[in-house]
Amino acid sequence: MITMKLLLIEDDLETASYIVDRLTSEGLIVDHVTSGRDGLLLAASEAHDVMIVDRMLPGLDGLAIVKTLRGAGVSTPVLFLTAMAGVDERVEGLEAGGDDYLVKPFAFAELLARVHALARRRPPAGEGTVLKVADLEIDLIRRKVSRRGRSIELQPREFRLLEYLMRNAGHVVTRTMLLEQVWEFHFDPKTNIVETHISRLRSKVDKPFEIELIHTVRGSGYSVHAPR
Amino acid sequence: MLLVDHFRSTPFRIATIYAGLFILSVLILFAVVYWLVTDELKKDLRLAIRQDVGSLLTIYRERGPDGLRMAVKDRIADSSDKMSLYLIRDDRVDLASGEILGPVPIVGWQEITVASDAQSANDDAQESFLANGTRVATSYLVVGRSLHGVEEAQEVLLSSLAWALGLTALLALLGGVGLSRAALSRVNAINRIFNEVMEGHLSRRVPAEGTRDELDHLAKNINAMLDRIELLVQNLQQVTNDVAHDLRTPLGRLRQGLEAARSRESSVDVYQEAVDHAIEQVDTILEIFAALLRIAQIETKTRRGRFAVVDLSEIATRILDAYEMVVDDAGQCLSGTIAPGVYVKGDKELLTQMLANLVENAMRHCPAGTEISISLTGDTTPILAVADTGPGIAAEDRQAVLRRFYRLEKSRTVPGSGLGLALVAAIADLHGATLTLADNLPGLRVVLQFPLRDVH
Repeated sequence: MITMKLLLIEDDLETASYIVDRLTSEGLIVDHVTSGRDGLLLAASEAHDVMIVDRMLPGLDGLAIVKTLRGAGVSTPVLFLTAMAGVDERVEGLEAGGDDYLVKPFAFAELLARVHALARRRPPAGEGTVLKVADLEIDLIRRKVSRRGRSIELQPREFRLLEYLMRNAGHVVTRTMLLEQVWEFHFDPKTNIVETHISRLRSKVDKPFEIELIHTVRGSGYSVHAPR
Repeated sequence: MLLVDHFRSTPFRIATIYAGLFILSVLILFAVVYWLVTDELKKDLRLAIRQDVGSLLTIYRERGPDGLRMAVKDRIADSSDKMSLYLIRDDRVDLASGEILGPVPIVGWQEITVASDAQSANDDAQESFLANGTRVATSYLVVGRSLHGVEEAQEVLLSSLAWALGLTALLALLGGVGLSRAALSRVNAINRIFNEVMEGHLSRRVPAEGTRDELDHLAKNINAMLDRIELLVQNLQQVTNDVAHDLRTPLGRLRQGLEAARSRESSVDVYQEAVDHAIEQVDTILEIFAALLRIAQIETKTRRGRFAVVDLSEIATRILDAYEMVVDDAGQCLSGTIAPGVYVKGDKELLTQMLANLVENAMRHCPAGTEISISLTGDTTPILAVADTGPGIAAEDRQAVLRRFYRLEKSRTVPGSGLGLALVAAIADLHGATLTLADNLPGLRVVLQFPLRDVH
């Protein structure tokens, strides 16, 4: 596996060293700069898999950096970090060319899962119309799911849930990511929506078969992968 | 009230400007009258002088220089009232009715002054005459008439002008003061109220006069503004208190947990559990903060700039779909009657959250077996409702539950931040929707009526 290389633009040294430490211990390479100007130079001169950009930076702010990079044809996926919990900020970030958005303070598992998801988003053309994990197959065009050749009937929303998990097969997707991607919930519901739907999905996809493919990752989220 | 205050008031200024214009027009009128009267009187004098000169010339032609002198002498003697002026100058001594001041001889028309003698009734040292000078062979004849009459007429005109102006100015001043007193008394009443409000008496209001004029309208608006300010201040105070109280509880628990963990010699597992618990508490606190910020941000209404046409039917269906099983698991039941193709102008994300909040609110506060239903109709205006068959909310509490952190006594034991319905109210307000909490007989029925709009 090729090591992922990240660029972190963050002026708060405590947050930055926390993120760098945790990401490095996960085996990722992280370039860290504290100012927008340095970040812009580094992003333009070196290739990165994902950029993590703080929105509030001294001098050149996060939005301006990403706008400039997108204008210059740099298409590195961008994850915005911000202390602003506002609704508009997320939309503004996406409009500026950001790909994802995370509000501080955040759980590290959330950041890691999102960084991985962004890194995988890069070659979208590489994906086929049929996704496969072990003996589980999902046909995106015909909207059909089958396991070991047996057809499985899924509700549209269950299909969407499984599709998102399968697209990120082998990696963790968090509860929040599922809420955003499957139900378009950009807030934190107080009820176990994700848990309930995952358990329903499991009863259809995993239960009739002896091998479990949908795994719960404690403290993080869920992951679909073949038994290891 | 000081008189100076009147002078500074707007009605007084307007009255002054009108008085000024009126005085100016009076002045113009008087100038015209003055000129016409003076001119007419002088015309009469000229005519008299001309006739007099004519008759004297006739006498001269008939009786020669001596005859003329005789006639003039007679005339001087006749005009003891000093209304006429005569002068004959030839090779003999001047025959004159008075001492002419200024250059003599003159030819043609001229106004001249004559030194008046001591016996004259007129106190002036000199008198003006309109005079005509003529050459008669070698002699020189001046005939004049006193301008006294003209001057008197002018004086009468001027004094009447002075009276008129004085009275006009006085009336303007009195009118201005009267007008400004009426207006100022009300403006000052408003100012007094303002001062009291600024001193902290937020409940003071401007008394309505019921005159329906612009000041009454102003008073009404001021009162509405004061109502709003009072409400905002109350809200702010309540939120400050509640933030203090509601954050103290989880912060206190956090501290207790950490302290307890430190005081014991425990295993790593116990420490980890304590840390997990601490993170949970911190997350609760952060959640409350985030919810408060979100409500505050929605209340600024800047998000209206991003409004788009939103498929409300799709949102309701998505929520129904997301929650059906969750509600089922809680031993309750969720159903929906959702009309297709109901659109509103708004914010999809916030409308989704609003509906989710309403469903979660019903779940949290109702016992097992409760039936929760979502309904959406778009027959006249879009109407979205979430109803349950739970315990409901007493009529007197229905407004209060929409406030931040407000929690009914019976629901204090149920987890929740007390911000759910406040957020619903803020989002409804942002969309111009009317939020009604009604009795579902039994249970609670939350109805949102959106404004009618043409989405096509």
